[in-house]
Amino acid sequence: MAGLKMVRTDSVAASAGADLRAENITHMFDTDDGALLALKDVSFTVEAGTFVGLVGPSGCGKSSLLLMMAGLLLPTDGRIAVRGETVSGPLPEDIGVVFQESSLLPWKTARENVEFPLYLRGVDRQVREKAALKMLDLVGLGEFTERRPHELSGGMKQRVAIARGFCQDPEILLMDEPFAALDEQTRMTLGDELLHIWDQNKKTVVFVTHSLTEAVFLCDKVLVMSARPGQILKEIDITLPRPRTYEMMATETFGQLRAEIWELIRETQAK
Amino acid sequence: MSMRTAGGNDDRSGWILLLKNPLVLRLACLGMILAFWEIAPRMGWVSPVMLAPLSATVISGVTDFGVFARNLGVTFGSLALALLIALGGGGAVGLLLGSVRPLRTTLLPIMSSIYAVPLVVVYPVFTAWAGIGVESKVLFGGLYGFFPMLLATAAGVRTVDGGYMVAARSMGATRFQMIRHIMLPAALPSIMSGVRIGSAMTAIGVVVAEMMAATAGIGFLITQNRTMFNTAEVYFGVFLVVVLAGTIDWAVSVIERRAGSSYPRKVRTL
Ligand SMILES: Nc1ncnc2c1ncn2[C@@H]1O[C@H](COP(=O)(O)OP(=O)(O)OP(=O)(O)O)[C@@H](O)[C@H]1O
Ligand SMILES: [Mg+2]
Repeated sequence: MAGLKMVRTDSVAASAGADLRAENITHMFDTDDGALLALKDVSFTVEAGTFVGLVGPSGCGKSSLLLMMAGLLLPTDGRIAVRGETVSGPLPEDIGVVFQESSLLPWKTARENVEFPLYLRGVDRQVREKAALKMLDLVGLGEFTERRPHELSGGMKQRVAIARGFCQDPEILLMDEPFAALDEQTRMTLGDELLHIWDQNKKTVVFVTHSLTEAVFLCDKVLVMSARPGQILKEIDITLPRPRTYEMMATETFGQLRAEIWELIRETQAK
Repeated sequence: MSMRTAGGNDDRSGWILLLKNPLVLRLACLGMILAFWEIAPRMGWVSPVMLAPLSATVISGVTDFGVFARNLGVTFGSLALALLIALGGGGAVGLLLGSVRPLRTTLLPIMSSIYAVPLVVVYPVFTAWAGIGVESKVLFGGLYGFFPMLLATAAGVRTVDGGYMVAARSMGATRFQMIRHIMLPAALPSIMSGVRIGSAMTAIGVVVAEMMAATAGIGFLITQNRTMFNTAEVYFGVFLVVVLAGTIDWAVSVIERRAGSSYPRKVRTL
C-alpha cells in the first residue's frame, strides 16, 4: 500500500479523486440538557474530482458532518460511503482534512509539518522531503520551509496546512473553513491559489465556508443546509466555467447564484 | 588621605565599574563568606564545634580523601538507581494516568494526596522491609522523586490540545505514533519541570535516607562524624552534598537544552 502511494506522491496529478456519499445521516449529541438533534436525514453525493461547497447557518452541523466524512465521528444513524464502502474510521490514504485552526504542530518546522502524514505512513525520508518541498513551493512558501508555525503569519500557516493536506495526497480533501481566520484580501488570494493547486492535483474537495462569494467562486456545486437540525435545503450547481477568474465575480450569473444561496440561508435563519 | 583625594578619582570609578560586574560581585561575596568561614571559628566568634575553619575542613577532606571518595561513589550509585525509579517509573505511570481517562479520574487524585504526605515518616518501614543497605535508600529516594515526576507528566499529557490529536488521527497516526509525536512533545515543557523537581527530590531522599539509617554514603558519613564531633569532616560532607546537587542541576540543564532545542520559546514557556 505504502509503496504504491510513494510513487504517486512523487508524480503529482495522478489521482482524480473518489466519490463520496452521505446516506440518511442523522446525528444526536449527548449534552447535559439531554439529546441534541444536530443533523436530520442528510443525504448527498459528491462526484469524484468535483469541488463541492457546504454552507449553512452557524451551528447547523457542518463541522460535525465533516468529521463524519473523515471517519472521526460516527453518525447516530445512516452512513458515509467512499467508493460505495462504509467509512468507519480514519482512512488517511483516501480522506484528508484541513482544519480551521490550522492544527500545525508548533514544535515542527513547516516542512516537517507537511511531511508528517507521509512520515506516519512510513514513506522514505528523501521521498517525503521532496514531496513536502514541492508542495511548499507550490503554495509560495519555498523560502520558509524551515520556519516553525509561530514564525509564520496566519495566511502562511493556512498555506502550510493546505500543503500538508495535498502532501498527504488523499483522494478526498475535506476543508473546514480553512480561511475563516484570514482577512478578505488574503482569503481571496488563497482561494485562487487553492484552485490553482487543485487544478494540478485533482481531488474530490468538500469545502465548508461562511463566505458565499468564496463558495460560488470555488465550487462546482454548493450544498445549502438549514438551521439546526441540519438538513440539505438545496444543491446548487455553479454553472460558471473553469478556470475561474476574478472578473467572473462581476458577472450577472455570479451575482444571481450568490443571491440564491443567501436567500435560502436568510429564510432558514429567520425560522 | 590627601593622596586619595588628589589622584584617586579615576581609581575609584574603576573600582565601582568592577563591582558592577555581576561575576566580580558574586566572587567577592563568595570570598567574603569563605573568609568569614576561616576567621570566625579561629577568632572564637563561633565555637569550633559548630563551625570548623575552612582550612581544617579542606585538610580533613584531603587526608580522608579515600573515605570521602568511596562514600560519594556509593551515594552517586544509589542516586542513579533511585533516579531510574523516580524519572522512569514516575514518567511512565504519569503518561499512563494522564492519557487514560478512567485511570486519571480514579488514581490521579490519590497520587496527589500521597504527594502531600511527608514521606520521611515511612522511612522506618522501608528499613524494616529492605534493611539499611543500598536497597532501602534507593527505594526511598526513588519514591521521593516518583510523585512529582508522575504528577508533572500526567498534567502535561492531560492538557495536550485535542485538535492536534484529532488531526494526527485523521492523518493515520497509530496509538504509539500519537504518544511519540503528539503527546510527548506537547507535554515536554511540563515533563521537563517534572524532571527538575523530581531529580532534586530524589537526591534529597537518598541523602536523608543515608543520614537516618545506612551503612555508607555521604549522608551516613555526615551523621557519623557529627556524633563524634568531627566538625571539619561534617562540613566537608556538606560540601560534597552541594557538589552533588550542583551536578544534578547541571545535568538537568543539559537535558533541558537538548530536549528543548526543537521547541519554540513561546510554547516552551506556556
Ligand atoms: N461534541 C459535541 N457535543 C455536543 N454538542 C455538539 C458537539 N459538537 C457539536 N455540537 C453541537 O452540534 C451542533 C452542530 O455543531 P457544528 O460544530 O457541527 O456546527 P457548524 O455548522 O460547524 O457551526 P459553525 O458554522 O459555527 O462552525 C451545534 O449546536 C453544536 O453545539
Ligand atoms: Mg464548524
